[in-house]
Amino acid sequence: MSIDEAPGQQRERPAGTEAPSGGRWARIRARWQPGPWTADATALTVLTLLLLLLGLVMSFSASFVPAAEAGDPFAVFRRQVGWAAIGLVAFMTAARLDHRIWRGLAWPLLLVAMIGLVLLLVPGVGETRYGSTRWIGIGPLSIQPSEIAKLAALLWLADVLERKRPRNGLPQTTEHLLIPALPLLVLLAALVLAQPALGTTILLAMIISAVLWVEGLPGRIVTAAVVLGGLAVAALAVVAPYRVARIRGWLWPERFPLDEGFQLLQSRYALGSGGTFGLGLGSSRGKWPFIPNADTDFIFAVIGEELGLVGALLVVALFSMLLYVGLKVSYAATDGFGRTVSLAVTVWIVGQALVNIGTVTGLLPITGVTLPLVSVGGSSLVSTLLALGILVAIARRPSPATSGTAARGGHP
Amino acid sequence: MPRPTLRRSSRGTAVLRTDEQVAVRRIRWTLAIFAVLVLATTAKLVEIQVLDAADLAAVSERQRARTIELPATRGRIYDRDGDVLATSVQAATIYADPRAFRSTETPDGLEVPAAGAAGDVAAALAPVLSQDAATITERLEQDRHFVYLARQVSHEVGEEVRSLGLPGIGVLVEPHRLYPAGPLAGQVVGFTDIDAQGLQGLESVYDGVLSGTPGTLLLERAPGGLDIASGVRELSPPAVGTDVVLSLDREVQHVAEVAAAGAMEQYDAIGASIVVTEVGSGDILAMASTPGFDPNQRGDEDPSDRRNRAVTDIFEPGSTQKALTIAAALEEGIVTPSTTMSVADAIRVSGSTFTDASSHPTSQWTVTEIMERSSNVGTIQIAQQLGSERLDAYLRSFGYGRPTALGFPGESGGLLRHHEDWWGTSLPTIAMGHGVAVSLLQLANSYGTIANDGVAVSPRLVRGTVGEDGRLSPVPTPLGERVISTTTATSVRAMLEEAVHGEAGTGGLAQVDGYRVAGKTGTARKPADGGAGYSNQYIATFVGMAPADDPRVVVAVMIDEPWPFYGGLTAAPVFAEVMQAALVALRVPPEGAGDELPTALQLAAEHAARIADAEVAAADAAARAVLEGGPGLVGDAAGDPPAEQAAGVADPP
Repeated sequence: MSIDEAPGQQRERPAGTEAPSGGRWARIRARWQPGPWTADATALTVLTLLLLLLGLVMSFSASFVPAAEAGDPFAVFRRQVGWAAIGLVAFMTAARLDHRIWRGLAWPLLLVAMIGLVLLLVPGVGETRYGSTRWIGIGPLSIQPSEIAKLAALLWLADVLERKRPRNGLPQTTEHLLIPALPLLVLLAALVLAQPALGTTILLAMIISAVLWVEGLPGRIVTAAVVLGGLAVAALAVVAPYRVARIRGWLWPERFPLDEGFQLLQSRYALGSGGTFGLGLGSSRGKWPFIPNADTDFIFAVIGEELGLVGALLVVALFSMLLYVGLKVSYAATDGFGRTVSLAVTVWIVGQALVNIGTVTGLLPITGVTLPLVSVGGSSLVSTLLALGILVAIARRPSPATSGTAARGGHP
Repeated sequence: MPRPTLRRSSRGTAVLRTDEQVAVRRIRWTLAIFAVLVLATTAKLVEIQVLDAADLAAVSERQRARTIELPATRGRIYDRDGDVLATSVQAATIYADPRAFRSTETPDGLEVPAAGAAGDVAAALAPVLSQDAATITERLEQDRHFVYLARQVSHEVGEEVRSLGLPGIGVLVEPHRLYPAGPLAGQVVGFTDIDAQGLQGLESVYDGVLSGTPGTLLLERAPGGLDIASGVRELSPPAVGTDVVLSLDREVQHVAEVAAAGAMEQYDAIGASIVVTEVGSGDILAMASTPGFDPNQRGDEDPSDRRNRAVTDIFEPGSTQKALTIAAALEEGIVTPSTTMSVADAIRVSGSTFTDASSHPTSQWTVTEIMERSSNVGTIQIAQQLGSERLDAYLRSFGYGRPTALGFPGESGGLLRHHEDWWGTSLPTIAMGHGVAVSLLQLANSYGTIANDGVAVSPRLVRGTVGEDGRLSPVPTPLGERVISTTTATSVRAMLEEAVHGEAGTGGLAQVDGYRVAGKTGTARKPADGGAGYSNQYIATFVGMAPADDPRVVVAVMIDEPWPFYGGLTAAPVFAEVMQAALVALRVPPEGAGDELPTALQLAAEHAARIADAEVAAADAAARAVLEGGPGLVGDAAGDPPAEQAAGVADPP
């Protein structure tokens, strides 16, 4: 794979966009007029919808057994469809606005995420599941502030770096990159680790690293950061007995078949049972439920069991295409903010998918990371769809000068 | 346009790059890194889903596969006319999975809450199961995966429990063994345990035939106990057990049990056994021992009540034995029925004196008269001519000293010492039926040989089996073995007829209206509990056949510790009652010979004193002989082998 297309060209601002009329939404649309629809935008939309559709089908297949036990086989599926509807509204809205609107919105979004994360520290506010306090109940909905935090941190850091971008066209200096990024990471990591949610912390670090990476953080710093990050993760893993157990279960699942190794072994059994062509949709045995969390973190095992290697590789292929198109959008972005955001969003979503598949197949220890767009889970689905909507907006390549505050000059 | 920045290339030349150029390089790197990760993921998936797939799928299948045993319907047990004595019905069994009532913790420290509160579930079940809620709660809180709450209860209870829909509670269908005839032939039919394994009686002997072959249902089951809907299901149906048809006649068995129970009551006895056999076939028509038990309601009865004591318990046959001694002498040509002998009222053998029942002047009696009067001295004189070796051999031919071919569990072969081990007084005592022990079945069988014109036929309880095709596969009638000639048999029957119908006979109460009966009374002292000598308790017996000239039925009656203790007074009337029923059941036409005879009651009054004296004298003489150092049956001071110490209650080796 390679990116052949030249970096994005300037585009003419479509006619008629300067005559706002009507209500507030119309005024916002007029101010944040997106670029013209592109083939990349189509590709991203199609990939998103395919993954979402697969996710909805599989979320029903993977959840109906325990859901039926609890009284209603459609309970989990219905809730997931509701979240998907909310997510699609967010996706379409973001796709129809110039992505630079998020430079401003990143700040209140981060504030909301921070407040949510702090509220989780207050005893009695959050909902605790599986020994971790990650959810805040609002009416019938359960929201994970950490899912909002991932997108908010990405947008906020990209905006700050955009503001600090040197006028001379040179890359950011290391200090300028690290001064906003490191405190942000430390603060968020501290809040998220308090839940505790090591997997989300790792994803946050990955997202922030992706931003710094594309902004040109020197290679030696990147190497050092990877080493330090690895050590930090190792240290965090060792201090909590349950994480040590998970590592044991990852390295030697056969030795702990009923304890630490249970989930991974059952996941492998499911994938192996699926073989090349799968047992057929709905026929998974693993979800009965041999595999814990078959509808969330381990939905990929159910996909592999029911749809076989063919289905599993289809998922990998869809994410790979998303990666390719996402990177292409980043490559062709008409502004620095868009370039950074599109790369970080792509790395986040595809990276999270690969981490999830890695844990399911045993390449990585179990961390509790969901498969984006596919796993059951509301906040994660909405924030992922919103991020993809922003990616589509970037793919529309609005003219760099028309909006935003710090759009830089043209391209070669 | 892009303002250059100074960078060092790998070759050391200075290169200027804008931030955009840096970003583009980084984007390309990202693509490359992710390409590697995607390839690694793909490789891992291929490894798991193609290379290791078969192994993983096999392990996975093993952990889901559950083989459920489908119990085979146990065969029925019928009497000879097809009345059901044992059958199996479907019942409901209530069980629980106690794991549903406590919260558990996964290795990750996740809390899995309990599905229900044990107390609430127990409270809901208690009235339905008629059990104490606290007892149920206790069972629900056990640290196990499966507990029974109630086994083999009615379908209604099962349905009621199911309709409650309680968590962790299940209902199984389980076969329950039912004995429609209740206590009838309980010791013969036996019973199964709650898991339908034959434990006692014919249920145990024919367990392999009755039980059939269990089937299996192979299915895939989830950890929570759910059957996986899309999983495999392989059914191999169970093979129904084979039905067993007994030789028992329900009517005769019933009469025998009632008669035995009546005798126990009337004579204040501790037990009574009756065996009824058909002459020629060896079919056992009835085999009753009271007290008995109801196999449907086992539990608090005395374990000995469950024993088929007609085959497991042995006793001294006493005077009934004299017929066999005389038959042997007749067969050997030593005497004929009309041979006249000079019989005194006492005889001294090896330092012991044996007397007749009452003192009488030395008389010239025929062998028939000796039998009729049950003369001890006469019998001893005949036995002395016969000798130990031949007496021993004939008794064994009549079935003494070894179990019958019935093969009933716990069956005893009785006790008969080899003649080389006999004492000086052994010959006279054994000739009179003391110092030797048999089961009631052995006794009936020996008389069956006389009834069957001298041919011994093994007794049997099972006529055949009925397989799935509904057809009876008969058990072949065993070939008989000639023991004495027809002439001898006929002669002995004539003597036995005199013993019942003759003026001096001791068995007058055994007469049956309309039939001639041939039979013999017996009275024996029981061995002492401690094992040394004899107790003061008696066993009264009567064994006989009818019709006397062409016997069809043999009935043997044994009454344990009756009062009065004379066989002629107690066992004989019981014999008559049972014989009457058996002859009716086999539709044997009456001969009309009984009309001219005095009634049984008149005879009883006439003969009571003589009967008593004759029988008791024999028993007492035997006891005396033992005390004087002879070969008593049980534990005399000479130090018998340990096996014989248990005589009268358990099996010999």
